[in-house]
Amino acid sequence: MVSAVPDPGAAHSYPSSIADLAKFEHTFCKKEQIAGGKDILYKNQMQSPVPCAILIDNFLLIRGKCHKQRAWVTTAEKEYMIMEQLLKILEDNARLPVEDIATMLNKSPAEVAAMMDLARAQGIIKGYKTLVDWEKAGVNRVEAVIELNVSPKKSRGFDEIAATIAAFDEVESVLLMSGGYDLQLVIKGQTFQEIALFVAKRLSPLDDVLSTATHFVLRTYKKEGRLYQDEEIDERECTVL
Amino acid sequence: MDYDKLIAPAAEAMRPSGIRKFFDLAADMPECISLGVGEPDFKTPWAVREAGIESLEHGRTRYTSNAGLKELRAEICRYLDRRMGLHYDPLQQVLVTVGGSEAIDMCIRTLVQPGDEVIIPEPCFVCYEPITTLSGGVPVHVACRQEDQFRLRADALKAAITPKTKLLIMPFPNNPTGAVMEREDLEAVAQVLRDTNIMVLSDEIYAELNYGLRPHVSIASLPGMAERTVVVNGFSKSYAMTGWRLGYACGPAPIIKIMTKIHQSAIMSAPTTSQYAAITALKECDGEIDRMRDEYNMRRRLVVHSFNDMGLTCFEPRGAFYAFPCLKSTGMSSEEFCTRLLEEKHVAIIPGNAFGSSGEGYARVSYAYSVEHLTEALKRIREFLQENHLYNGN
Repeated sequence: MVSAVPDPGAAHSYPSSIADLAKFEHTFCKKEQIAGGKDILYKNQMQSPVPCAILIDNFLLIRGKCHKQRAWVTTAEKEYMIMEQLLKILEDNARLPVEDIATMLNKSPAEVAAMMDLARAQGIIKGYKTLVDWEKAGVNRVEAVIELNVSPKKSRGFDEIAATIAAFDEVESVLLMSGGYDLQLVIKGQTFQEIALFVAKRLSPLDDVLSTATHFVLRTYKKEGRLYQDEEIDERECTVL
Repeated sequence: MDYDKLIAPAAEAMRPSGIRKFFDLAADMPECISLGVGEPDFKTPWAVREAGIESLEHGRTRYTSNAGLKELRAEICRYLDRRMGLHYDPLQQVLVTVGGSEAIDMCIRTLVQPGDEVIIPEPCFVCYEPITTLSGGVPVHVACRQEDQFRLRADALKAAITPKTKLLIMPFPNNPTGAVMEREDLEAVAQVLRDTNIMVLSDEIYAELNYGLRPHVSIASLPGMAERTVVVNGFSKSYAMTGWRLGYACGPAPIIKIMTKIHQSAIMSAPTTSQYAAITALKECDGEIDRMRDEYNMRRRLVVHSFNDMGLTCFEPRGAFYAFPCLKSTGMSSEEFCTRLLEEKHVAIIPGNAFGSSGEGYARVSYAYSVEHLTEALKRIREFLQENHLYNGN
């Protein structure tokens, strides 16, 4: 695998608008052509073990079994299923009182709190956040999705460059993708310029970054399973009963 | 025109639904929170919707055979065998109908002649009585009580039977109470019926929504009962397909044959698109049923616990998606409680007496709503009790 010679932007002037950024990226993309073909298979081999993979495997195994034969579920299997239900509840609404969650799962509040702590400690629960519609709040926020082509390292594959990029505060998420590009980033900033500068000054100069393609978010319709533009309306009407 | 003279007296005398006015009132309150509807909040599983769309794309828009698509009837029989342990012949013992409601209608019209008595356990779904009356039948109500977990007791049934009794309605899992009949309870009922010529209409539309430790048991699966039972079921509740209007009846061939004859004249055939979609539901969506049931079960625990916590004792419903809290501790009638709750706190629940006089003193609360919606409604009910000094709970 040939790694590209980084071009720290000396040959480019930094962009200050969306159009400029597009032009900048177009030129910058040439780096990738130098890098030659990438080994897609290599990407597939690079899946590092996920801590909860075993747990998830168990979930699947157990659920498959339970559907066939509900009658003989062991206690351990039940616990797994309850953990899964707990995670689903929290994923949908992390602000439900522990008491309510406990009632829903037929557990005591202390047990639910302990399960939540355990899941947090094991890194299954990564954190609790709030979905804010900043547009509605009247606060300026710009969001962009960036497609990134990078050159993986022989020893650590995509992990090293992904970790480097993930360390930037502006970066909201970093995902390794199948298909036409390698990493997908979500970047948040106050203005378009801020993001454009981030891409040009900090992201592209990185040694292993071959090319970037920045797409600004124009409008959010749905995010994390919630509608942003229209409230979901309950259209059910009472018919007879 | 003197319409009063034109309209048939039996039709005129039909009891109107007792809850209409609540929903008319609620409709004028934008901030009103309803716990009133009797249908799932889930969308029909995508695979099912896709099958419906595909059938339209292929132009399958004609009538089907009167009894329903052969393939659908075969799938219904496989499903009933797989999940309920019931065995029917798809060619002679199945009729696909426009919702479970039509199956109920056809069954009662097939069996009941003027003067026949139809035993209806109460509280129950409101359609059995008017359909019986339209056929000239006489509804005989048997009250199910909270101390019996709202189950039909064999001795109460026995006491209601007369030489004129033609049909027993078995509405379990029950709307509005959420009661289920366990195998032993059904066995006791079956024991009363075995020596008689009484038929059973077993409305099992909520069969898949069963939260007990044991799965649903159909009375038709008990020895000697299949020959005297018409099982009514459908896709509305288990697959969240209310608007598709599709149900079915299974039973002894001679009865299904006559039901099909009436259906042929009155309806022709159930909606074709829905029938194609339903085949996919039966083939592919057992997992979806389980997923929805798990979700309802969590909400059920939350709602029942909250009512008990407020001091409105709530019997533990093991089926359907309704809780039936007792309002007697407030000293108010069902109507008064529900009207005031609606006016003061804008929460709509249905007074229990809408489901028969034995529902007086209770209210039906549907938990086919999101947890957020339920939590808000329960909070308001709690406030209502506190503000009226009726709060009795923790």
